[in-house]
Amino acid sequence: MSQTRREFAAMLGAAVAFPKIWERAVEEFEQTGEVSADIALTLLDAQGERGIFADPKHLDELRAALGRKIRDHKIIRAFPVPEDVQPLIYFKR
Amino acid sequence: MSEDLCYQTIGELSKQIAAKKLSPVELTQAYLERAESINPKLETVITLTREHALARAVEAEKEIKAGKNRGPLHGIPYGVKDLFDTKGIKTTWGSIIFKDRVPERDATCVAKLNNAGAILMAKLTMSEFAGGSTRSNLVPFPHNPWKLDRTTSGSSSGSGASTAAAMVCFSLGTETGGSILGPSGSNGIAGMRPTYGRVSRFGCMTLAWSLDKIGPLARSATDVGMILEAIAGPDPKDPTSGSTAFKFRPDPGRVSGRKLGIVRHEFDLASAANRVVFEKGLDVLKQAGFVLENVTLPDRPYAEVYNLISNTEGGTFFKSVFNDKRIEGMYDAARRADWLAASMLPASDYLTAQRIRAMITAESDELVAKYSALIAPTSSSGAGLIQPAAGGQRGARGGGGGGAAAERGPAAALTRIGNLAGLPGISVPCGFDNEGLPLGIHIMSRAWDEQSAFDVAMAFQKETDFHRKRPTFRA
Repeated sequence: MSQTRREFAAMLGAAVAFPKIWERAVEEFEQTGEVSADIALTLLDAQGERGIFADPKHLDELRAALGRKIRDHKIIRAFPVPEDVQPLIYFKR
Repeated sequence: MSEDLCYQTIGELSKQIAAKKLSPVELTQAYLERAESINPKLETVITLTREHALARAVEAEKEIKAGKNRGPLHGIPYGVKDLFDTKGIKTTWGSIIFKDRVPERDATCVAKLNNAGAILMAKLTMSEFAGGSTRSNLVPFPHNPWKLDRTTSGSSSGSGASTAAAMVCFSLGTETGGSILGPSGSNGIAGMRPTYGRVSRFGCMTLAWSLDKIGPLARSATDVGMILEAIAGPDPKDPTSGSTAFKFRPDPGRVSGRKLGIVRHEFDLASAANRVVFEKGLDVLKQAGFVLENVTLPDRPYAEVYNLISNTEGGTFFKSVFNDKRIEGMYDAARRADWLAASMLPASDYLTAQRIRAMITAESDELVAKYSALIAPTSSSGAGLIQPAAGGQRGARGGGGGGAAAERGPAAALTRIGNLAGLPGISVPCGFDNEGLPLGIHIMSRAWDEQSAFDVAMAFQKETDFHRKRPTFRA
């Protein structure tokens, strides 16, 4: 896959910025009870192509889904995990 | 006569076939005719492989006449959920997006059943991409054979209903969050979710790599055991498949004194009338000699962990369909958005969910190790009403119907744990509710110890006849 330097820089920038955008989405959801179209579009652009979610009707579906994911995210993040517990994604040879 | 024939068990049919008193061709024709006549009522078959089935039946008959009997499944017609690849036969994953998909290979478990002489006769309805409900925009809504206005539960909807209606002798389904147990319970049959890795998933649509399991559905626990033996075992094409075969023992042996852990809280969630049915079922186990002890499940975020893992993995598998915009054809818009939203979660959330899952797995292993099996209702209620869904297609009401309810309701905690921890469980019918709808019990055992679950199920079925009842197809 060929990429221009500009495209690569944009992708790198998005990867670095992504956690910040996600945190903004979580803050917004906590304050307003929903994820705005602006934030949803920013997240969408950061993950790749907009695809069908460029359509406002589908973007609204994505905003609702983000709300559901943020609820799960908060519960998972808040759960205390002892330090010696490994995730179930072992790599064995 | 044909109905009586089609309702016989694998054991009963196989004895007659081996003694050359029943022809595989005659048997296959009986099932094909039955499926063709009933399917307009139930809508549980996507593709009936008539010519393929009859050709295979002729081969089976020749072999048996020549003295070559491949075992108890030789000459027995079966169906598979339409996400198992079947060479040269349409395999749609329950989606209009893949309505013309024709694989060039058989899934490993289909190849194993073919090798055992079983006869593939039908590709069965499923919910779109093995979702929790029974909805799809590819085929009409399937109906429960016990009451036609009820759902079959999903996502192995066609497998559950077709087997209950004896349109096939047995079927294969898959479970990620509840999709074998739910349809088994709602349709009054036996269905097993084996240990994760017990059955190769090569050639089967992926929903979630770390959660998907393949299992049999049939009208008795003994039949389920025979089928599991045929499809289980290591497969170099599936690196998650376990290293040992499964040898089924059809005699439960002495059960007196064996301990069962009763998840009392889940029984308490049932209505008063249904609790009576479930308690009678527990009494049967007590009378058989099992020792029952109440257990409490740890309070953990089972649903959130499951949702995060399954949505992230499912969304990743289907990424290419998002990228080329074919995903627009997906019926369940909310699920589609969930898949994409999950891909936006930080990777650390997925890892944290898998860490919590490791804790759940360790706790579950410790709990179930103290007992032959844990027992809970498969669902606290019978199949829900079919309701019109948004977009026009009739969908399942969330409260009682599809796999969605079985997966998300509080009564499904043991199913949730079984799937997260990869533990085997079988559902068998234990009675009927006030509307004549089947109720089931979920019997869950230790990893790689499906036999203990089978022993409990077979001991239960020795003392009851719920598995012998036939649906009435009433409106």
